[in-house]
Amino acid sequence: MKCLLCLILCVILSGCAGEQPDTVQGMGLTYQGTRITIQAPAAPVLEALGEAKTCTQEPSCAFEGMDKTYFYGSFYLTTYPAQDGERILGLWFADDGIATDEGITIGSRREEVEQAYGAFTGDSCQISGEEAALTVMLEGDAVTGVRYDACLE
Amino acid sequence: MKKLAAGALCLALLWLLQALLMPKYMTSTPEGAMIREYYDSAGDHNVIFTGDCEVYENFSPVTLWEEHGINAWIRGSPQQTIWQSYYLMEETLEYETPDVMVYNVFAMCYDTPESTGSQSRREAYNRITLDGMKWSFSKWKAVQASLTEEEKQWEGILTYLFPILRFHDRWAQLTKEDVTYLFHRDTVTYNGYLMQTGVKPMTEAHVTAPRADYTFGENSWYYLEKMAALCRDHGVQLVLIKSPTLYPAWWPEWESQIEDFAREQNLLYVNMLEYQQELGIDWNQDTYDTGLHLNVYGAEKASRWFGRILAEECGVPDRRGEKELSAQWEQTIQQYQRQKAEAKEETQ
Repeated sequence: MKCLLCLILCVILSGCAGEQPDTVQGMGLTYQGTRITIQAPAAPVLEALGEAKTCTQEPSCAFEGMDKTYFYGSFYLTTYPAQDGERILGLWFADDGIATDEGITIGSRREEVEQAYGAFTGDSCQISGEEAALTVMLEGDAVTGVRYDACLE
Repeated sequence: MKKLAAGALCLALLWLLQALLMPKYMTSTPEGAMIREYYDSAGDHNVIFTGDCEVYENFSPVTLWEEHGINAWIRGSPQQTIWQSYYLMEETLEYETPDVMVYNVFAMCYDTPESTGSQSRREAYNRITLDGMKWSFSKWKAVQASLTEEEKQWEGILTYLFPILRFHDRWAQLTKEDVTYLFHRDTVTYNGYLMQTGVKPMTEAHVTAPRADYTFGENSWYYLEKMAALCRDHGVQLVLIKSPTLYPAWWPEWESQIEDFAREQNLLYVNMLEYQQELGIDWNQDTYDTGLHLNVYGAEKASRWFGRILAEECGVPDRRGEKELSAQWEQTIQQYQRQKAEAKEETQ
């Protein structure tokens, strides 16, 4: 019985911890020479981009730490609090002053999207990676929205 | 006999250890203590709210009582999903049959457990709602509906049956709170309302990324339809609301889907965003976090306005003439007013 009790205690008192990688080789784009990778640490990106036009904070309903949304004129960048600091949660285009690595931006034509990412049906095209997803939204023949979102585990 | 006694002792020790290791949600994250508070008061409510923070932060049952004589309870919790709300409603009906159940429809945008956020955050929110529920078949179903596919694979359900399996590594983080609240909890809400007294004006509009698809998912519809059927079967009026907070965004495409559903099901749906002027919400004064939630002053305005709907359109009775119930409320009101006054003093 003592052995059983000891065994149970050993199992329940043993700790476990997870770690996030420092760098993420994943989906993103380059804006004016700054590489923005979804789920990568946000600090170097924010520093390189300079002061945002606006920054709003969204507290969670119950936990400490805030998601933040930075506005840089042509795009919005969102971050989330991770154990090791802010990380990039997503990005979406506000105008055609920014483009994906494949050259797709607001106002691009459907044909250009298909050339860049392959054929698709409906009003949106989604490219999924391990860490993030890219969604291009169209109305008729023209792109009206582009967003990158982290795929959070 | 000796072996039996040793076995019983072993089980008692494990139970004690589990009670010690589970988070108490008293000095931080009080949201985790809300769901369990209902059981001591269950049995005689006329209105039950379910939903996420848009109910437990935005409606004050104290105001509903003071202004309209409505005896209400809010079974809300942070990021409460529609399947959790459904099973909370189902469980509530085991304790009482209110006149009206109010459901805040924002969570319709989360169709699956995976869609509600990162694994760690989602699990923490699940805990806040599910660990507070008493054991019942409804809880069992709520847990199953809340698990992600990944959690199902590693039999995450066992951690809800035996929370010690989840919280075993908290032993290094134990504080005085874990001992103080080993066998009891303080009350953190006023009939499910978590009071926030701060003021943090909305200085800039919050923005939300556009979506490729605004259609609510099948699973969300499944539970909303079940909710309507559950209430119908028990003779309870289901009222759908969209709480009056501005962020996260409530898209017009979502609004029209809920309007259509309410029309088809013959349900009352009130989008309080459309009545902000009538409510008198001042976004410079009535929010504690720049417009995501209302503070107590905003919640009182929203409750005053919505109480009239409940009374006039749903026929919820004014019970202020009942001596025993009034006496119970008087105690709650005194405590509520004391907390409000103390907060006001602190800010002056």
